Amino acid sequence: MKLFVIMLAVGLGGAMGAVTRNLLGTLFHVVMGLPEYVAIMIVNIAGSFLIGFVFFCLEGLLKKDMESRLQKTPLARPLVDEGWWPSSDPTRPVVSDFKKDLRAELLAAFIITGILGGMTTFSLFSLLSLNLAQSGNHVAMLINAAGTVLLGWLAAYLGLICGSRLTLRLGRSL
Amino acid sequence: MTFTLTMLFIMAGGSLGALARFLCQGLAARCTSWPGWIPVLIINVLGSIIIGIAVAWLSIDIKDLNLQNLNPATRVLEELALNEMMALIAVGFCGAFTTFSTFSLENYLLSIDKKGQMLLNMIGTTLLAYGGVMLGWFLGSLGGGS
Repeated sequence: MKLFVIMLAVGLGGAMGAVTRNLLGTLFHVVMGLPEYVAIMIVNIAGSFLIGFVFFCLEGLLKKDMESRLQKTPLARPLVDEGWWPSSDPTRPVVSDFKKDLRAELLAAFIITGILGGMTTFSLFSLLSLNLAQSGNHVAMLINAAGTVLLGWLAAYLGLICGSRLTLRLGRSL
Repeated sequence: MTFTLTMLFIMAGGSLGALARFLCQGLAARCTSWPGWIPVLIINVLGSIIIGIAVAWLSIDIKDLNLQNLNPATRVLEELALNEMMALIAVGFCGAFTTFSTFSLENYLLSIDKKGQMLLNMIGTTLLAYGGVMLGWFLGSLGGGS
């Protein structure tokens, strides 16, 4: 039953994320006249920022067992003792982080796995890279590939920083 | 009207794609002891292969339709169906099945003290997804245009 509710949240979020990506892509591509790969790039980077932000907020505000995987990151350094890593895998799926709190588990499933996962896309990114290469535009393809990956990393980092500021302002820590 | 229909197909594909990703991640966590970024890598490469097949196949079909002299009403309907298939499979399902946000977040988390895995993830996913979409495009061009 619990799995069913979580699956419902993921499906609903995925539908909303996919529509948001399509509408934003149409806005940037058709209305503002940017190339299609730039439109997808903007959506992917915005999603990377938001995932960092939401992830830190969920870990900081809703986690009750105080075992966040963010505790060893530079973001948490003023908050907790260094050198403590609860698990060896920092990239386990987000939803499995919140086994003890259904509310946080549902929020993680809906926002992170559903909306943000559905909004950002890797397949359109690689398809558009192939289209750029097929049309002979190799410079744009390299800029697209390297730029999206590196700016996505930076955006996730900035999102985590913004999330940590908000969490601190609300009086909670990891 | 067409716009609403396309949005509905994108929503259907998007929810199926997100669900499939969630279930694949859960399955990988249950059945294997891989670190969490490997299932995401596989998902992204798989989605790229599928989008390559779908787009190559459907675009060949659309080209064929313009060549054939169908009567106009049939052609409009057929084109509509192909466009909705594209919305459902490529934009909806593949778009939501693959994810960039999780990939970026994992790259940051890995960059803290597992920089080797981060490089492997960054370069590996980008190159394999590019190879996957090329493979899919090749397969789709073989099968389509009948």
